[in-house]
Amino acid sequence: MRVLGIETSCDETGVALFDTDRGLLAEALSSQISLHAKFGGVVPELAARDHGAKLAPLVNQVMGEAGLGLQALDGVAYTAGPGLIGALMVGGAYAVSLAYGLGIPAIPVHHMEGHLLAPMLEDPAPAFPFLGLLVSGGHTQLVAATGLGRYATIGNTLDDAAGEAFDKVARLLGLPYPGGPQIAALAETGRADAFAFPRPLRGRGLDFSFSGLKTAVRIAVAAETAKTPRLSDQLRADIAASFQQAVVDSLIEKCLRALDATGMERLVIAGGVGANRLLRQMLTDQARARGVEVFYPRPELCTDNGAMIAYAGAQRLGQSTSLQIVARPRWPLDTLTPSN
Amino acid sequence: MGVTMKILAIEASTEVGSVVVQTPDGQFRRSIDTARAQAENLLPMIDDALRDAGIVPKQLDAIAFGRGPGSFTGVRLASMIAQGLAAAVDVGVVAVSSLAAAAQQIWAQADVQRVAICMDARMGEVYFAEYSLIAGIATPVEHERLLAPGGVKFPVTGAWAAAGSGLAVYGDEYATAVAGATLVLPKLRPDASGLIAAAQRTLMAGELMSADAIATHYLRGESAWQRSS
Ligand SMILES: Nc1ncnc2c1ncn2[C@@H]1O[C@H](COP(=O)(O)OP(=O)(O)O)[C@@H](O)[C@H]1O
Repeated sequence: MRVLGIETSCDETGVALFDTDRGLLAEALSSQISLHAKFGGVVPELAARDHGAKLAPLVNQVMGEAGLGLQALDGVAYTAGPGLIGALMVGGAYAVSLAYGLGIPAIPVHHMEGHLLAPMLEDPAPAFPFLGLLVSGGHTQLVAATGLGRYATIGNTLDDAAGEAFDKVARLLGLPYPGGPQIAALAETGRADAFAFPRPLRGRGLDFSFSGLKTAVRIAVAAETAKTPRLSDQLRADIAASFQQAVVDSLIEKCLRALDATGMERLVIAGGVGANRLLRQMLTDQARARGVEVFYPRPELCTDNGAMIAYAGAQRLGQSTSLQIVARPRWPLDTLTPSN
Repeated sequence: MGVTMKILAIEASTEVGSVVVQTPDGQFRRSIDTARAQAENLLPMIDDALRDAGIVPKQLDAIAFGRGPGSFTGVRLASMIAQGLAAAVDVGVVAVSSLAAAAQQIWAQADVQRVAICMDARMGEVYFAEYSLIAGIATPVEHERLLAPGGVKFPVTGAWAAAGSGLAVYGDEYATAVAGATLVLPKLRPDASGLIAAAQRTLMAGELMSADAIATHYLRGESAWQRSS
């Protein structure tokens, strides 16, 4: 079975073709980062317009790279939420119309289920049940996944998402969006123990909090700037490294507690922040020390992409050919069911 | 070709969403008049109209859509549906101005020399263009534009018609200017039926666009997100 996956929930247009026998056949991505840069954040109307202009050419590109015509498809999967309503609508309208014209099912996919299942595109692939750490620009969640569509959120951020914290701290240090990779690169030459930033909610429950940490960094930056208006490269690197360490420590601590609480023997790391090397390394080491297997996809499959939507869609490929364009800006992961 | 053409037209640039299937047997139309329900209803409406016409999507020769100006969301919806469907059945697309569609509708019912279309664009502006009928097709006299209501210049001579929601919203302001018009239709909205003539001509001229090469026509750019934020 071949399923085309279409992702347009935020600022990335992603298209991919997944074959249940042969795996990922082709994929393409168009990022809007530079488009939104001058506005200091994603502008919804601009995002929708760009998805509209890029989607059809990307679909052609992917089918061309796979050497297949659209007639070879068995289903069209698209991100139906959560995300920006106008952006979701672009992918949904195209996907459902394409499927209708081809006489095949259109499959609405939950964006976070896409992220959660993305490691299954890799070899070895995780099997259910597993604990998922979903860390992205909009989410920081611990999910007990016991089967397709059986997800229980057991930990969540009380304020900022981890990726959001990376992005905000990057701005404090004068780095461009998205801040995660920038901070990680700057941290390479910094000392992780130079600043004693807080690890909020340490030792308490499974929820996360990052806004206090962000404030602590802001205060530190202000204090250092008062001393020397232009921060030295070393100082900026120290701040980045100390901040990154604090985020990673917090994520790891909650993960380990959740593994203890659930008794799960597999851990899946997914979402944009999952691309962070320090997080991957330290979490893998510490989980393995407890006999827990760790899975994460290659970095391109951590951030938004069409492949994860194609894969999740293939798992949910039914025979229904609904003409409804589903677009749900808010859609809790826990409300999913095995049959959707 | 002319007599056997089968065309699907989609128009959703205002609160009225409509679809028309044109075949040698006639015109099969469906419409809905709430903007919010368009996403949910446009494809089922297309399916119904095709069934009424007794054809399947694969039999279409072209797909036309109203490319705006108008509701960003509605125009995008029509455009993406046209693109997805056209790719699936491998036919070309025609993007027709939604204002020109409205003008075309007037010539279906009245014999005038000029038609001025003035649609409310919100935020204190209107979308405006003036048309004349050339070889049966509503053709702009000047480019369609986004204007302050006071910037609109209606025709002054000959038999002419004015139409569109701008006439209702700025009724007092335009009262004198449209007094000399043969026909004034503030309730007229672009309809899928108004897209058919231009689509037929484009199809016969062999000038259809590939589904991945089409562009929507927003007229309003950065000001839209700068002012609304
Ligand atoms: N190497 C990295 N280290 C830390 N954060 C990262 C890294 N790469 C990406 N990110 C963060 O991941 C987020 C984007 O992830 P993505 O899954 O696309 O999120 P969303 O869809 O919620 O915006 C951004 O906040 C970005 O800063």
